[in-house]
Amino acid sequence: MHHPIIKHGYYGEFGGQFIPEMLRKNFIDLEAAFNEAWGDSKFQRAYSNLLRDFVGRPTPLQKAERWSERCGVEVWFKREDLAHTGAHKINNAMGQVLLALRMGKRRIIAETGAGQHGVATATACAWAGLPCTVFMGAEDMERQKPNVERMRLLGAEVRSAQTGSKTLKDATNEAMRYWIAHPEDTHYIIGSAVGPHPYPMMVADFHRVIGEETKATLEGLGLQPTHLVACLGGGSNALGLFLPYLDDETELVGVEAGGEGLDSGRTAATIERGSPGILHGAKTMILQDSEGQIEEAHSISAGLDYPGIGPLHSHLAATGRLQTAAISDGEALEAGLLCTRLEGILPALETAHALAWTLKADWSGHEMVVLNLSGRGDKDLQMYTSRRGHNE
Amino acid sequence: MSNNFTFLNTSDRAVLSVFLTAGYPNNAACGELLDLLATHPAVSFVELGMPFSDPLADGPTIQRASEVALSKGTTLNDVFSLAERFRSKCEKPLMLMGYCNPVYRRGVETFVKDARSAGASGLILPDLPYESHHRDFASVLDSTGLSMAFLVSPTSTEEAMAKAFDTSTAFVYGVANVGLTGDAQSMDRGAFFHRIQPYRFQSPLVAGFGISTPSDVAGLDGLVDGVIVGSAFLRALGSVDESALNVEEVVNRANEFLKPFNPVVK
Ligand SMILES: Cc1ncc(COP(=O)(O)O)c(C=O)c1O
Repeated sequence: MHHPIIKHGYYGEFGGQFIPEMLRKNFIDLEAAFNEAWGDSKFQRAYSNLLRDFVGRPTPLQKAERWSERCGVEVWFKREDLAHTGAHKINNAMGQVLLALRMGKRRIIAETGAGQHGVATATACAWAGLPCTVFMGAEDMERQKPNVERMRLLGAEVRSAQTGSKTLKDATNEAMRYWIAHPEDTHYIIGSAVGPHPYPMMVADFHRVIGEETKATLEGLGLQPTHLVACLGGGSNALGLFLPYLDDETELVGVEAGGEGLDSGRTAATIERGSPGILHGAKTMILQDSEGQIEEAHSISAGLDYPGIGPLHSHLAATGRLQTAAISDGEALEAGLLCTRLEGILPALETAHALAWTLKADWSGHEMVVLNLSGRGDKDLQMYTSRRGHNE
Repeated sequence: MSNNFTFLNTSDRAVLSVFLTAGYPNNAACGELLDLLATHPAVSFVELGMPFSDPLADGPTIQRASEVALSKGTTLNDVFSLAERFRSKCEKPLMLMGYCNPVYRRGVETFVKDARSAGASGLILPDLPYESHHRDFASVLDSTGLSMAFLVSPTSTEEAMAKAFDTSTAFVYGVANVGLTGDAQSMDRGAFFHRIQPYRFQSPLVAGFGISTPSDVAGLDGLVDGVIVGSAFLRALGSVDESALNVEEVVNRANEFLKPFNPVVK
């Protein structure tokens, strides 16, 4: 593959393909097809045109004046909430649908947590005229209802995952199982930079436009950020922003969902609280017990409620390139509400974790921060309004 | 290298193996079931499933069995105790089948040694890549005498088929379905097992996934050395409702299930 950081599907000691033989050929085909497409200028042109005309890219890079004042440091928002469907997830969905069409696949499946990736994939499939099935944990269907309705309006079938914790982890299991049973005609659009190689790098590549636009804009202004900040679910919005900066001095900060607190046993802070293990086909940091059983993650934000993380993030954290922090449910809600009042932007609860970290961090005042405003918070209205009611 | 399964090559008909999940429907009943399998004349060897929270390759029946076993607190040590119990009753080969994470969590070398002293014959880890097998497992398996079975499936490339026969020291596990364990038949089994024949080399060939009836077994006669019945066996055990769980009843049901298999296998 074209990334110097990858060796035989591994990022340092993390990554790999821990998949049953029934899926092996799919991964061989996928890696070959992606490498070939990514190196093909025709594919690149088609993808860029779609990002411009359909997704609405480039997204703005906005200096957030009142937020900066509140934090005591200069903060810029990369406005992925303004991308079509309201989150960064659409970049990856469009890229993978183009790839699926090129591979002659006739059906798309996806897993979703917050429903943003599900909506993005359902949207991409409507655009492409491909049938789409989205697997979603039963609990997530309950707490992200508006997105379930959106997916159905777009023509997707939403299947509820009833096993385990009934959240993103279980939806991912169901999607992989469906793929095992339908290997020939189906493409699986995984929604974050997780899973077996080549997914982590492929998903990151389809999001690197976030960082590339940021870098181009700032270089045009003669600016160099000192910090890049993003929330970490599986890690796709973070890597999208970080990738073009990996070899720079810029500090990379990934904000995990602390849930009810790092020591509460109800957390989704995988790097902060996890250990190396194997989940969804990759070796990475995971939440597990002493028997190697995967533990349930807990976060108020369905998009961060996952007991794993991308293997590249595990590698970057292990080598010290990526700094991590955890933000609790309550801190995220408050930061999201504050951002709405100060900036007129209602952020996704996922994004609110990154926002909360910029409020809390120790700044000298000379730094310059770019925060990935990964999505808008309409889907989280209920959670925000009940918190506000509780505050008043 | 010693192979507990060479006897498979010498029998004329496909022998029967049964898969069951350790700790299902509970630890006591699972022990009794193993006693039955140890002495049952229709059963040539056994796969004991090590329950995992996220069993990717398993259909609803085995998923559910794993969930029940874990909810009853089944640990790896329980799996090993059950293996020991089986070994104390018979010489039949016993494979431990599961997923990589719990094995790596215990530590590969410790796991393999514990499995060996519990009397296990070999391992089936469907999500273990060949590279990880070579790096982490091969030498410790070799020194303890534990064997390994790799999978081939209808989507396997020619290279993968050859590799499975090259690397497997127990048998090659032929996935007799496009799908998961327990799924209804979705393919022409005969055609797939015919396609495997040219790659066969040393290791016996055993079919599993979605095999549930004596006629499924008969349909593979001459093409494979053995068959594994898992989900159908677990389903036959009936309700797992704890209040209604009667160990004797469970064992009777298992016995009933195995009866029609008698005439099919050697
Ligand atoms: C708006 C938004 N941000 C972030 C995430 C977290 O995912 P990732 O870490 O892959 O960016 C999600 C996931 O659903 C999301 O919807």
